[in-house]
Amino acid sequence: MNRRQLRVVSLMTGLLITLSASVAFAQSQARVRQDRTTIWRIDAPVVAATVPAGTLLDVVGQAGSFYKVLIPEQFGGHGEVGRIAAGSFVFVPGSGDRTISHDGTAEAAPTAPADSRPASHSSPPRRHDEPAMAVRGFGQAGLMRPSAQESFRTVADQVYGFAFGGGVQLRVRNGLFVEGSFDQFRKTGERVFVYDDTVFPLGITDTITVRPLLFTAGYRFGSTRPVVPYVGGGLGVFHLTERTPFSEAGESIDETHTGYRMSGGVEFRGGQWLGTAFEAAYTHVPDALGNGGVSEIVDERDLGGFEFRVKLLFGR
Amino acid sequence: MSQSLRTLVIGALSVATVTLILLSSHLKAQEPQAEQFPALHTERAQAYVRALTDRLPYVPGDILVKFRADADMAARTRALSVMRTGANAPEAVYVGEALLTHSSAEPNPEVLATILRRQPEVEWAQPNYIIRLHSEVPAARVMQGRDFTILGGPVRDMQGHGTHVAGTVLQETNNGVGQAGIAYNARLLPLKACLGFWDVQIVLGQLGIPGFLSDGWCDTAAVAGAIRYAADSGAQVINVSIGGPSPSPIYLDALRYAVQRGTFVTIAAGNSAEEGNPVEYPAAYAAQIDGVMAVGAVGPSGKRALYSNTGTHVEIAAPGGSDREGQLAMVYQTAVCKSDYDPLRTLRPRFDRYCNVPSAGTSMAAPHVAGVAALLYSQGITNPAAIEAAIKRFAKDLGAPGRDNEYGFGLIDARATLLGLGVVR
Repeated sequence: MNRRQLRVVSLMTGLLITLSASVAFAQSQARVRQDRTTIWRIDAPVVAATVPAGTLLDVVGQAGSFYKVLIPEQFGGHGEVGRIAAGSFVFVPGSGDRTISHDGTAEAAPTAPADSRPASHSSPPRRHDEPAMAVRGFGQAGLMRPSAQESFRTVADQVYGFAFGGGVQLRVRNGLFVEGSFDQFRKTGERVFVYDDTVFPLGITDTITVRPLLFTAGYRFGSTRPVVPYVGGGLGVFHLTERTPFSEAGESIDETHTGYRMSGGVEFRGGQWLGTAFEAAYTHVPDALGNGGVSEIVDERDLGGFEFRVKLLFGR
Repeated sequence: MSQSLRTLVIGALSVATVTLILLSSHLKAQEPQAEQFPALHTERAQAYVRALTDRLPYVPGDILVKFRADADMAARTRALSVMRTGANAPEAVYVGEALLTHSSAEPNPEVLATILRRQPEVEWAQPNYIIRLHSEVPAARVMQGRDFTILGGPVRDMQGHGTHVAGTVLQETNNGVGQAGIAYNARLLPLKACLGFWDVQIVLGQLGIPGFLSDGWCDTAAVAGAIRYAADSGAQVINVSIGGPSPSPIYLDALRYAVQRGTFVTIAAGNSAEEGNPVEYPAAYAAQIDGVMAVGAVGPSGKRALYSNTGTHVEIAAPGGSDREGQLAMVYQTAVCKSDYDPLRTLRPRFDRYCNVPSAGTSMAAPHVAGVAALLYSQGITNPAAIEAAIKRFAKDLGAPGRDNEYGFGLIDARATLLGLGVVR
């Protein structure tokens, strides 16, 4: 890894950590103080639910003197967000809130909007249900360890490398999701000759690039929670190139192979529009290697590998 | 390709001529050097002349003998006492572990060898065989070197063959002049192991023998000695464009010695395929040693040149030219103008003018492999066995699938070999 890559990775890691912290703030939990406390619909001065004292609510944001909370499922919620007056609940200590100024209670607020409208909501009322499907885009960065470790170690000295990319995720209410993703893994090394386990570097730059285009389907466990584990699996095509600075026709590799991926991770929601996910994935691309080069000598045939990646998701 | 090649030292054995050259990178005309040849040892010189006049396969009176390791000096002296050397016999010299000695009393070394082999102290004994020359082409630049023939004087290429071969390995390239060399930043250490036509006339002149002898030769001891000398001098690649029908353990010892010193060796497989295809030496030993390769020749068509010897010892093929495919199908190199020294055209030869000279033979093929080996060496493959393995691996398979007796492992592919291996290809 060179310094430039290191800086990029550090920057992205910092950004992701910041976003994760932001997500954690917005996902504090609160406990209702009084029976028959009203949760208002967020888009209209209409009662969404009435909850008893002690009800635990997920607080996902703040709007004026009201807080946005997820309407509990046992009170008719299906992931919808409602609003509740600030004085009608107390934050649960240790649940992540950073905004409470004294004794764990939010600042005083009206018990209900005087005109039966949320104070900060001046636009005309409109219906806002959790959609049946939601589309999100994401960017991702990961650290990959190829299965063909000996081949990559021989040519590039290092096994690990970074992969960068992005994709689109289609999420549905029942926890299922499908996504398409594209990324790129590149290693640069030196062409070699191997004789009796001795490696002779030849001073000729060799760059190998893998660009997977993958389609994954998966399941999110509890999609309305702020922390959502998920698993997935899928298949795709892996575009493989290998080049030297002066490759001629027939000397470069430009091939496409089919492979598979299994993945699992945890997503941290930061409100409706932002999320961060940490994901581990294993890809298997059989018979993409081993027909020439060092991979043939060491008998490694799989172009896949393990990858740990961080995703930054945008959208609902 | 490799503009920044590390400097190489390549030992080259000239088939025909006097070529001990330290070639940096230029092939240009040199003024003849002013050194004088030393006086010949009369008895040995006369023996060489007799070998020529009588067309003997050996140097009369010369014998190569190797003693068993446990034979002390007294035992060796006792063993040698069976042969009478005479008061004027040349001093015996060691070539590696073998002793080159001379008998004035018994000129037939076959008889001497038979007698010596019966001695318990002797491991083997054989005549100092002669390899007759079968190709001659002039060459390029001549610098100071070492002569392993009886002349023993300043090294000059008066036959052209050695410098032609040297040009293929490392002639200056990309300068718009003449032809091209393969490892064109390499240095050359040419060693003279053979006498050509004009060398022989010098010998005759020094002996006061009138007339001409139209032949030349290389003797076993000189070739083996030159190989050892090249290895001791730090040569990384040795090209031996020499071959003859007589086997000799002294070749095998010298080749093994060179490889042990880290030197890769290429040897011409021979040009006698149409004359009974006899096994030639030292090429026949190549298959026994990883780091030594016997090289056959192909013409521009990619087919084996008809003259190129075949056999189990052939390991690789390289361009050697083929007159059967036309004059332009020869290997051209900048070399001494043949018209300047051709005895059919001149009695006042000169060796300081250069032309593009065509020639064909496995002698021309072997330096192609030597040049690629030099480039591999410059890339960092410093193990002779690894160089051989690389050349074999990337060769283009010709003829019967896999290794065969015509092309060995196939036609050398310089680009693929130098490109080596990536992850996928």
